[in-house]
Amino acid sequence: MTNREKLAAAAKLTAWGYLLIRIDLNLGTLDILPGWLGYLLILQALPAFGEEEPSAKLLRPLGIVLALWEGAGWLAALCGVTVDSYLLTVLAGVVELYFHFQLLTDLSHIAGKYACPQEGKLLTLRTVYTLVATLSFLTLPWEDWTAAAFAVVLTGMVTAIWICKTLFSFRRSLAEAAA
Amino acid sequence: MTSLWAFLLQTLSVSAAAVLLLAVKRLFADKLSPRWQYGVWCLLALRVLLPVSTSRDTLLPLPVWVEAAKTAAEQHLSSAYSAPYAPVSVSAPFPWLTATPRSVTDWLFVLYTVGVVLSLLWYALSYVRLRRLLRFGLPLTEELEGQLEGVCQRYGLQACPALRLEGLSSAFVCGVFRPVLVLPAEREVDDKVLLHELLHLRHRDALQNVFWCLLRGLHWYNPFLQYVFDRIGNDMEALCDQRVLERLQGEDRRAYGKILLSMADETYARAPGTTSLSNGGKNIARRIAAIVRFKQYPQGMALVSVCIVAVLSGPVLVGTASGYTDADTAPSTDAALNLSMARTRLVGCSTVAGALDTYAKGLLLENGIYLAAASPLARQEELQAVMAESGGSYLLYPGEELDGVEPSLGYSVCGLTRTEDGYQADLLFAMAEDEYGEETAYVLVAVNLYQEARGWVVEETGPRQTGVTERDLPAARYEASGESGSTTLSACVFCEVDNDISPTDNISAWSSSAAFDETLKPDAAFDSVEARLTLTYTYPEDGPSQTVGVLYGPSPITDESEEMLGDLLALMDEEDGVSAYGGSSGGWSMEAQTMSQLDGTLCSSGVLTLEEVDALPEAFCVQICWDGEVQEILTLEEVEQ
Repeated sequence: MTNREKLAAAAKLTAWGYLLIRIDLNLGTLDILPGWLGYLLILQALPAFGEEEPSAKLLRPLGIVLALWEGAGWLAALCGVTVDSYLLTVLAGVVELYFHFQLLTDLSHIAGKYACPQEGKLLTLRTVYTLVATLSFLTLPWEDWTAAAFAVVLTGMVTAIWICKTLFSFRRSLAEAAA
Repeated sequence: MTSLWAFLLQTLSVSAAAVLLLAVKRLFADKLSPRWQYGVWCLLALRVLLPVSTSRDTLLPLPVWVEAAKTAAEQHLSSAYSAPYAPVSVSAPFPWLTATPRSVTDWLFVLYTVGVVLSLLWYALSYVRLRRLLRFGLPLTEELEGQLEGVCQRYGLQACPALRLEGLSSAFVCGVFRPVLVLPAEREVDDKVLLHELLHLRHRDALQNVFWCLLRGLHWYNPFLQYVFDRIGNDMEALCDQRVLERLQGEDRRAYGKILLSMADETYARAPGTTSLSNGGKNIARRIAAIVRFKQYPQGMALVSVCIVAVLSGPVLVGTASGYTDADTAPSTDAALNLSMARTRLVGCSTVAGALDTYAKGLLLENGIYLAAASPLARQEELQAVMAESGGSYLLYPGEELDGVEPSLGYSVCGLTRTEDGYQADLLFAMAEDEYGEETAYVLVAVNLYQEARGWVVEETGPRQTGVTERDLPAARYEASGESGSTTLSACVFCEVDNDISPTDNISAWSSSAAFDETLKPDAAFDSVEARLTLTYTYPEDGPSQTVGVLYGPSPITDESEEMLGDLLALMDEEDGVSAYGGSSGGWSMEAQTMSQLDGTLCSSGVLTLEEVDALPEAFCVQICWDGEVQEILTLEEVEQ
């Protein structure tokens, strides 16, 4: 298996991982697209990215933390229990912010190395995602700023879909070049 | 901080913030550079300097916990600095004494205050002693002067006065306004050590050190925060190491690490207003680890570094609005009741509507927590004592006057008007229908509202009235007379908080009627404010022959009223004649009837939606119509009652 093929397989796992993390589909209290599974997929992909970008290897512990956090929330929802810890929510929030920023930065660098056209788009999406996620975490009076809140939510949704789409096209670019 | 409890709350909040920051720093130890690792402590500095708000939870519900502990502890004390039912508040980050101490908690606070003063004095004394020691310093040798000049030139840095001191193991910078670089007299000094100290000088780290010492002094009693301030000092040194490494190349970086390693066994006496390459053996290990990671920190992390600090600033500095949970409003144990009552003393009702809604629900549902949340602080002790007497239950009998009241019918607010201190209003509770016959009867509770530091509170004024009907309610009265008779209009203002749970929201979806929402809403707003109008028109015997009509609304006449007048006249002109008609739109109401139905008096009811509670018009306008023609327009002025 060549490096490109390995990376294409890892990009595919990451794209599916993002899809699972960003999209919730509930059957009653059961989320059938659980976020923890998404993080597990991304964790599977990290070693391949780490060979190209050493900083991607640093994401492993954070990925495990996020998978555990998502898993705990998923289990709690399944059992009808509410997890309400502000301290843990804040911690998970900052870890998530860093994790996706670093991962998308690394993917963009890898795209640049392999002359894939998604390099710039991944960086832009990373920046937009980070700003939107930060805004949504800030203690702002969103109830009074309904238009702004709507804009943030909408931008977040569009960014999430666009990231998934870009990651799938990144995988295609790598796979086509490998073939 | 003026009491033991205020300082406990402040130090616990700072500690909680420090725990969060340490956890985040641990997670990002190998991912974000020493610049971020040190910079993020500015959040802790702000947390130390900003007084903690008692109406917000900073990470944990610390204000409620401290308030509950204070009430339990101060019950049997007569402290000068705090009272059991006066909510704890933090007005400044530093302590001061406001009275002569009387109780053990007062003396503990005095002890803390004295400790702060002594700590700061000790820091000042250490600094003065060090400066005096520098008097015995030796001038630099020519060789050393040249070396220092060379380092400054090579790295574009400015030097400061320098001297040598005997018995010194490592170089340091001393002083904020007139800094002095102090070098060991008996040993050679490496260029990299000079670079390290000159970078401290450039970034005014000695001044930062003074700042951290002041904060350290404020929390001298808290060993955890002492550890945190040690970590901050270490992070400052690690940042300086980072700056040194950024200026060194290849082998020099390794050599710099070796210099640090050689200091691993040294002890370090902390002194304010100084910076030193050596900061104790234990801390050197962390700095060496940071140096090893120097090239491994991911690049281009500026944006996310700033974003993480921004995200952390919310929980650390602002916190979240402290609110009531279901458990707070229906505590099941004595301890839970104490915590709920502590919360009521800290979290008030932010709006007039919220206070009235909370108090009315407290009476309706016999809930002491609701009543306490909307009652003045002066009543808290009494309310808690009543609840404690009844076995620690939150249920509180509101009085026999409300015995026949039907909770599911809710309540109404009537006659809300502004006063000098706040507002006055009447709370109306509908009796069960069979209590007073056909006409709905109410229990009227007259209340005053005013603001305390925590929000709006309600106080009953006068005895509660039972068997009150709508006719008995207080209303503004307007009158006018003319050739076509006399008119009287009464306007009673009703305010309503939306407490209807529609059948679809309700668990009992089969029920067709809305249920009453019993949840606590201390921040509620009025869903509607309206004046219910009653017009009485008395006309002369030689007046209209067939039909009589009135159109009335707030003065002056508007285009809308002109349109309605056209409708009214057309109605009165109909061949069959109008039997009875009433209607309203946009604040204008009309009524028309045939003469056979009347005996000299026409009565009409209408509704006027108001923008605010105090927005009743100064005058009303009535257009009187006889037999399909406008007879007279009267302006009704308010009359004193």
